[in-house]
Amino acid sequence: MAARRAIHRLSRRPDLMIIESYQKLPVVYSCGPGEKSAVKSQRPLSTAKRPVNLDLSSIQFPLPALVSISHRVSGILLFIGLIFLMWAFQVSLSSPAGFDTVREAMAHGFLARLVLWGLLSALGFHFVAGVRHLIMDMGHGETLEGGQLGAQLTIIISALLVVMAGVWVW
Amino acid sequence: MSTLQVSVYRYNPESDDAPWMQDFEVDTQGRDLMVLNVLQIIKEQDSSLVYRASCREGVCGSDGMNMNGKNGLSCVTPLSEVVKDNRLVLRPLPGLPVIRDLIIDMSLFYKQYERIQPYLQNDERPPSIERLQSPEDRDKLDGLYECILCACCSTSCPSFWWNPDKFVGPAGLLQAYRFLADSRDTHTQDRLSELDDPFSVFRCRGIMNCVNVCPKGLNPTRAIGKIREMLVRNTA
Amino acid sequence: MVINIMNPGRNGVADWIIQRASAVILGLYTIFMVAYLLFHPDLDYTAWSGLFSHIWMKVFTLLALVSVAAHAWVGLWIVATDYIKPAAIRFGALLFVILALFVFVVWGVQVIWGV
Repeated sequence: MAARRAIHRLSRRPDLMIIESYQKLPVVYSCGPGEKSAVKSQRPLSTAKRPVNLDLSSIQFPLPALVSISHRVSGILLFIGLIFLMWAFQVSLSSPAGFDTVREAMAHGFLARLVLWGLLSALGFHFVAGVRHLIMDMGHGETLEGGQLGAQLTIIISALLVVMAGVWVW
Repeated sequence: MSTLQVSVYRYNPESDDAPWMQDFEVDTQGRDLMVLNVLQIIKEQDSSLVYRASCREGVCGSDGMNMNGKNGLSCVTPLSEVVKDNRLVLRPLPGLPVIRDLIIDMSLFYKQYERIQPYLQNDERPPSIERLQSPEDRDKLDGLYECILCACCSTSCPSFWWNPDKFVGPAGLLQAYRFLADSRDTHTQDRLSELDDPFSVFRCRGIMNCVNVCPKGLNPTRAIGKIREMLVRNTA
Repeated sequence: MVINIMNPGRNGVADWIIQRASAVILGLYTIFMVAYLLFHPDLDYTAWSGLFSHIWMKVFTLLALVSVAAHAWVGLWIVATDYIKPAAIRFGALLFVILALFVFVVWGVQVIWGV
């Protein structure tokens, strides 16, 4: 008896009834000049060609957002860099002569050192930003302030690593 | 120097091929008005400008827009908070189709909200009084129930821009967690099964734009982290 | 529920775990390699090939290679599904990625076991 009364009360809930009646309302479409306004569709509002505001230059990106996109970019660069890494790996282990070739390139070759420094920098940044992701997965740094601090630390530590890598390579 | 330079995004599907920016000069008389007040003044100059607004006090969520690059509610955003170099640029919320001027089509946003089943599901016999909940359990809903569905967060999220039909978005996921965390809801397993594909939850990259723009100070990133935790625990 | 045929794992949780686990393995490998190279500034071929002749180093390197493939695949799949909307082009790009990663793994295995 009590359950029935409760369900009865539930079905009388005005907010639910409002939702229900809204769903039953027929959709009204706009009509052009000369067309009679009707409940059933005449000429639907043009939805196909609506513009979208995605002018990225007009949108503000806070530091955590910039760190995030850089994390993605560095990842892609590393994927491309895998070719160089694999080449160096193979040649350096093939023979003493091969090892010397790689060593020579890393010590004196301008392009080789540039590529190496670029890859090490990308790796350093991707690594630090990745560690930040893992820390956030554990539940730390997910607040507004925490996210900002995490992003700042990522940049500072990565910058240090880039400089250190530069010193090492050059 | 109380004349504010305002640039507003305009688009009328009946007369424009493409959106354009219209410039206005608004005399604020030195008052620190809300952006909504500025829009009202502009409407007196050009009545063809349209925008959504209702409660004018930051609780209905109707007047979300992009002000000088940052999403927010125009009725509770004072000029002192957004104006730079005496300039104010008003654009519609990013990523969703523009119907006209500053009004966007919220259908995809609402669709994602409906998808996560934003209502209590409890198959047990309804009690004769309300379903009881301890104060500790009720506290778990703080920071989740206050969402006004203004869409500032989802429209600031790049992952939502690229996949608004597949990624639920910060607002939807905040509400998904609101029900996952509710002790009175018994459909936790079903809710989690609905969400464990690669797109619905896992497109979140921790960009944290959502936390940055929420006008109610809510934290979707943390809620999404908690959903992820629940999903991983469920599987592992 | 979003159905997708090209997602790497069975579901979102699997992809996420694969990405995190491979990240940790790669992190450890990177730290090891950087430390090794820093502590052996005058490295020569004998020491270098000697390092890779140890079975544990071969296993560790192979593990790192597989982790690179898994980590890069999950990451690049996400990037492709974000930016490349036309299905045919996206499929082509992802196919290229899989092939490239497969080549890297096979190449790496051949190098390690040649030592």
